[in-house]
Amino acid sequence: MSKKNNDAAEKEITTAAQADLDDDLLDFDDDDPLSATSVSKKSLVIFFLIDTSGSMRGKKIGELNTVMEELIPEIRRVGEADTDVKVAVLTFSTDVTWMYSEPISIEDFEWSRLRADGVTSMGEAFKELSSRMSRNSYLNSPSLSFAPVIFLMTDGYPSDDYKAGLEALQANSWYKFGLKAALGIGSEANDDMLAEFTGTKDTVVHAYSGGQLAQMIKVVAVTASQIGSKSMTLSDETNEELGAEDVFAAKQKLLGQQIQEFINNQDEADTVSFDTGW
Amino acid sequence: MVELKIGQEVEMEYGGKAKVINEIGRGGQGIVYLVEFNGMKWALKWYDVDKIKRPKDFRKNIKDNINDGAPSNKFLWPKYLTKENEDGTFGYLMELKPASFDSFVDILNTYKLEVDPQTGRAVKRPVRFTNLYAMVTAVINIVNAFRQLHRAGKSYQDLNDGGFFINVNTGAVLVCDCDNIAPDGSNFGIGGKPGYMAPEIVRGVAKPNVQTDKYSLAVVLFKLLFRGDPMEGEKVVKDICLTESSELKHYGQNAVFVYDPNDASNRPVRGIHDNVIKFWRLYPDYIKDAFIQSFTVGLSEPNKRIIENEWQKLFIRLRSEIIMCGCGRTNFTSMFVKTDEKTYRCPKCGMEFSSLGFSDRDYRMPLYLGCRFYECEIDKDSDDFLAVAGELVENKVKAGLLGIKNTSGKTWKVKMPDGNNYEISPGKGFPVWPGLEIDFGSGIQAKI
Repeated sequence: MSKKNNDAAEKEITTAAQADLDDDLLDFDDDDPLSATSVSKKSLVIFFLIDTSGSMRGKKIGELNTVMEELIPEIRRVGEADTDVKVAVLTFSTDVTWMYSEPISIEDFEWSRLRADGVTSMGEAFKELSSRMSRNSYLNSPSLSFAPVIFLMTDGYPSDDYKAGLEALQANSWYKFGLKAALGIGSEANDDMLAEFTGTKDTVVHAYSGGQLAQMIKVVAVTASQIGSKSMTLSDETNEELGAEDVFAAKQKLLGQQIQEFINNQDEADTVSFDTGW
Repeated sequence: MVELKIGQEVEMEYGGKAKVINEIGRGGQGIVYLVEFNGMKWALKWYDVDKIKRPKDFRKNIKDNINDGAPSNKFLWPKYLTKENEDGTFGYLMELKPASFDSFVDILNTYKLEVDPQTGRAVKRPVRFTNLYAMVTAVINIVNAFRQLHRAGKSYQDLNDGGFFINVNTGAVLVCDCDNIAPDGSNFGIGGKPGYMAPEIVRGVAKPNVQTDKYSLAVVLFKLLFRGDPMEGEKVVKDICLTESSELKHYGQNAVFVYDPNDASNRPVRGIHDNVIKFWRLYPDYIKDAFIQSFTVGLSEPNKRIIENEWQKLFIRLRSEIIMCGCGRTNFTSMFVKTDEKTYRCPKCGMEFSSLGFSDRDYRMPLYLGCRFYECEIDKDSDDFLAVAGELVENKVKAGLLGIKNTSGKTWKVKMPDGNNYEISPGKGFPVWPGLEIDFGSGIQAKI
């Protein structure tokens, strides 16, 4: 090795040592104890799966658009300093369409009003959702995530093979750990089918009138995002060491309890049914 | 739950009615309303009694707290109970948060959302400490509030980032959500907020108490200074999705501090935990060691958690080791070059700072224009960390001459380097000369 090379090597080493020193003490641009960025957060995506088939036309879709516009500001604060909440909306009629090409931060999200037309390709929607619920697609946050909230709203029975779509979804781990809820709008919606989607009847709700629709969407969406955006308070009254099996699906159970509690507290008396007066 | 309507009147326990003006916020246990009572505005916390495990005991406990009174003026303490409705619902009144205070959650987010009354749109407004003194003072205030609470034999139980309001200009602190505070050993069903809960609570083997408060307090302080989660590092991020069982593991059964010196498995991850990586290297070892103690041995041995008084001493020291350099750089002495035993040099601009050594400490306080020491630092019997006892000022007649002004209530004896003694009464000052000695008259001396 020539002397010149030696010098160069030495110089490099000094530079590296200098860089270390810089890193420790002399990086003036970045050593201010007050120059914090926002605390590191976990992320949560709320998926809304919305039926926009022809039968939703008129009052149903109008009411739904209005309540969704109002809902967004209401769930803005649920993440507090712990969670970055994002929203993704998938609509299904004859085709399956995302409102935006990726989940949007709740603070920047603007509802774009939906129109209803066509048939109910729910199975396709399940398949599409499953393909997007992946680290390589919509759930690509580098930080830690909470399992997503998935909220399905429909007024009828699928016109395609929803079982095949549901099977694809059920094989997806994000779906397995996710918080699932469904809203049946009007009397055509099928509870059993919706419970197949959620995995439990407790998180399936119904709306038969405009007032109920607004209320149910808000209660379910707000409750689910509150539970979804926070870690669980796992402790119970037993005072015994908890195991993984004790806490499995604890959030889904809690969501079921809270929704049922809400429904039981509701007065029966609500006004005009969706299925009358058309 | 039974929500209140705007304009609705709620009967108070000892007569009178509180009238609902609007909603302020919602929490896990109920809703907070702005109300008017006896011609004054108050905050009314109104409970969703379905969410409370033993509402009668819970109400009785609040009543006891009202009777005992707040441990200090740092608490937004319950003041008056409402009458209990037939269905058991009730609430209590507390004072409103002054507008000059921001929530700790907003400080962690570094902004708050305010709705512009003109457009109805949410606008982001920055929320940051305006100076380092204020941030360290906020820490001391928080620690001191819990010291006072614990001395009163009570535990907070649900200590988390939602429990504080802070003035970002002064570091003044108000502790809110005081309704779960209970005598140590009692619990009315609250578990706490995940991430802040002691591992033994997460595991299901303990209920909140003074010792678990100490763990939560360490988390709050860590979040305030390092702006991240002390238990969330590589090991946790690898799980990708934080399910209920991974939470039990990472915050309960197998919690590992991100800077555990004996376990590197959970180090902060660049790109995610940049704040923690950046700030950890700025702080002096005695601060880092206290967090290491809290989050390593303190994880499994509650009695080894740092006590409030210890935190208070450490942060009073940290506050006295701040240097605000003329070049605009503000940092702790640990980030300045120590050229000799008594002198610090700014590595950016080269400015040098002499220092003051106190007889009861093994560290020195750097002297710069505007630096201060407090009553508790010159009087062994004082716990007053807010009253400024002395401050470095510029002479009003001779520009450029720096001196220490006595802002305490006592007369000091100062021995100048020429050997002469002078009495410095309150309001007077003396120039900063090397070798000068001050006797504060309460057993503590200092020397430049």
